[in-house]
Amino acid sequence: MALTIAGHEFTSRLFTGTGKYASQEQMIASILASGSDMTTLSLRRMDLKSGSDNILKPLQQLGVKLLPNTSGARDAKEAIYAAQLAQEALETNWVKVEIHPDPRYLMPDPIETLKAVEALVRLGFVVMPYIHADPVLCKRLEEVGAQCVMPLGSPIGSNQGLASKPFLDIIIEQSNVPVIVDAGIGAPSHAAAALEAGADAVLVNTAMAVASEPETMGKAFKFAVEAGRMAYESGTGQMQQTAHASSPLTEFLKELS
Amino acid sequence: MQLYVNDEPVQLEQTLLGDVIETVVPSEQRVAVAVNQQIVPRSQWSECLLKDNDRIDIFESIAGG
Repeated sequence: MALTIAGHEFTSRLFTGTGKYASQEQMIASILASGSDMTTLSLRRMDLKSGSDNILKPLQQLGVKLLPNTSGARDAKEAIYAAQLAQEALETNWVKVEIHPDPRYLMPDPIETLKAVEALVRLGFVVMPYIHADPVLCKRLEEVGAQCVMPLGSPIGSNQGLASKPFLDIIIEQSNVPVIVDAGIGAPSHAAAALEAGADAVLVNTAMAVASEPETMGKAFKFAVEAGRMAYESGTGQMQQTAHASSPLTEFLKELS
Repeated sequence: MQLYVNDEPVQLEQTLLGDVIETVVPSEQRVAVAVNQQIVPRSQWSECLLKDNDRIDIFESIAGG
């Protein structure tokens, strides 16, 4: 079954970001190869002197859904302002809320995030909150109307993978809204592991953007996410402490002695 | 009239926000605009009358994760 968020059906369970690519051409090639049909953008005050590289046009030509984020917001008030500006600039009521006042670890502020999500839902936004892998917070966000939750695997851009795995498992078990593992996914195997565990999707940016071959890496992530989801739907076996033979034991050899 | 566009002081003759945007933003660029930190929807740019020392902020989309 396809992933649906707020009535929108996605063909891919891989969401992408547009940051950190060496060139716009690489970004487009990588996103295209990944099969992703939603990608994130940020908003900044325009530099009137240097002009801009107009990132929108090639993304619109690609036909992907655009997901503005509130990166740079330090509290709920700033995030709401950023969401409303993005709504104007991109003509979308979708927003990824990210509020991380600390630049070293970029840890999301749970209290400000909850406040912002509650307010934005009331304003009619489809809100995708970037949060710590906190099962309690996920339930609170669900209660105020978040259409999905986006818990982190590990710090943004750290490539550390699913360091939060035990808590992601709890979130996945309890959630009534889609769970999208965001941040820290550094390799396709991490993405596959998230999908295998039952995450509904992943969001990948750095791992694709900083690869030596971003286009090929985009394709690798596409396969990983598809494989992970297929494995989840097929039902993976339980982990065991002891060995369990996959072949019948060769009883006849005993007869040799 | 003295205005501030993204914190830069500018002297402009235009008094309507729509005309200021047309002057400083390339026509194909999609932007969001706030005057004194109040967002002004695109549909209201052409009738939004500016005052001396108004602060105009113009935002654009950039790459981000």
